[in-house]
Amino acid sequence: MTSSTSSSNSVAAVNSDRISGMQDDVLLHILSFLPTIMSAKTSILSRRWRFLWAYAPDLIFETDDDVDIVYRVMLLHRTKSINTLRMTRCFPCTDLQFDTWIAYAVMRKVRNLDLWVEGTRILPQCLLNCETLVDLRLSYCCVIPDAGTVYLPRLKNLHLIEVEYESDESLPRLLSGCTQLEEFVLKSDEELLSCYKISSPTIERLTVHFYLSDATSYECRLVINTPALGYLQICDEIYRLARNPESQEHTQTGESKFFAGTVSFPTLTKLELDADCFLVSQFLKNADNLEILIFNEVSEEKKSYVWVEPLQVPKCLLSHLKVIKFVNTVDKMNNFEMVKFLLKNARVLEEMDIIYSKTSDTEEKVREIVLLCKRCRVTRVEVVKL
Amino acid sequence: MAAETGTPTTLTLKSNDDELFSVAESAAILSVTIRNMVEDGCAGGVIPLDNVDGKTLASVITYMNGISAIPADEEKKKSYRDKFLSDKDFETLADMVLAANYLNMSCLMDAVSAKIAQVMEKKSVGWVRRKFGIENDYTPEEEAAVKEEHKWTFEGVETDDDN
Repeated sequence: MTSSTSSSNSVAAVNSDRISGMQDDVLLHILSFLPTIMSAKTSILSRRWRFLWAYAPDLIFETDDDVDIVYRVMLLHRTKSINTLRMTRCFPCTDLQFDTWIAYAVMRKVRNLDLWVEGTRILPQCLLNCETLVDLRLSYCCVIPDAGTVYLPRLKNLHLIEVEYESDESLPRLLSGCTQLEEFVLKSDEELLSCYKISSPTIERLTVHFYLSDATSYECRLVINTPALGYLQICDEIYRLARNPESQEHTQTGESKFFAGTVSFPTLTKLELDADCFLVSQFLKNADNLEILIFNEVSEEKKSYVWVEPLQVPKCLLSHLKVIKFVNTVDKMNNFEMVKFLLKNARVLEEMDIIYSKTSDTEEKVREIVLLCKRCRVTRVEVVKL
Repeated sequence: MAAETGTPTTLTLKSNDDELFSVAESAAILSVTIRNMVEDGCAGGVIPLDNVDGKTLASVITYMNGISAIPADEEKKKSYRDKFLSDKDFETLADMVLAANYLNMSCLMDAVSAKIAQVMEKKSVGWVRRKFGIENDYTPEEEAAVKEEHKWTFEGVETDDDN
């Protein structure tokens, strides 16, 4: 590339009207982040702005907007396709209004749909066969049907936040129609299904949150079959897990009802735990190739410090585990048996990182661990005091 | 494509007021504009960025370095972006959105646009006209008519304050 001369002489002039000289596409980009009613209000600014808002690709409606405004906006909007339709915070609507708005969005080739509307109703067929949809987020408002075709060939992100399902078949049926799905987030707080079956050859990131009360006798199975998985986050009170997810890089669990007995993570290389020690041995014995183990800070109510020493030394300790990191967990960790066990048996451990906040109590424990590391010939020990 | 080497490549960027900046190629290619130059083999010498001044470019490079140091964790990236933009005034944000657009950096473009929208949201018509340098070219009659037509959008509080 030949170096061009810079135009510093005109900089001052450019600066003075750089904002008023913003191109329409930059202004539209900014407008698309405003709630649509606010964006429409910019009509009053000047002639240039009069119809500008009607070309903003995103439509965002909020709870306190009048439903009539939705119709008005849809009528006045001038683009052939819309990027996003978002209705937030329990947007009030009737079945007919819901169907009409969805049909509008589908006809306008919507790419992102983010809906939290009032009431629950079965998702319309036109939405489940919307070929342009890339990102679909449904919160608290829809029922996933267990009949009819699903064809969402471009869908990459799917978030189902406390939605309902017609039956156990609803979820597998929906996922089978999402042939390019990369990220799936499922959150559920009710005793809805006896089995959540998540099967997809393409899902790379999976987040499953179950918020179920301790008192319930509800049991459900979570079946995960996702060979392309690279990230898995589970926050749960689930009682049984079945079938083996084949490849994970990152697993996180929240509460202590998680039972990982029938699970194996043969290609898991990095594990971050926001959970108590009880789970550690469960994971270690099922993740032969684990290289990095991170203990994140655990909230008061989640810790129980029950360390159950495995009967056999887990394979990953003998041949793979290279890094152990404690993030603000040392000061709370009154169970040194686990640390001792890990240090004693991790044959190829290279690095131990300890991040802790300053209390005299902690200093003592950190010193003890560092001493242990030296004795066990760990090559790198890093201690960071916050 | 540049040949693979063990040492990280550094690029030199030049602002339109002739300031030079060194930045790691791995961070700079967050800009699709710069990435295309690198891929076309045009990034050997100094890369002139004729639409970005030194002050803005310095800020953009701070962002490039900061965000590329964060591993693939969308939440952490988001909180970095929020923090990065939290102390910027409107004029700086406007410069940054133009720079992000020119450099084709979608993540910065989105974050700055969202921030500008957030600032605009509760502001009066007068404030927005002033900050965007918009001349009101409506006749009083036209303005009244447009206002009447858009009555449905005029609800809620608005302010002239800069904060």
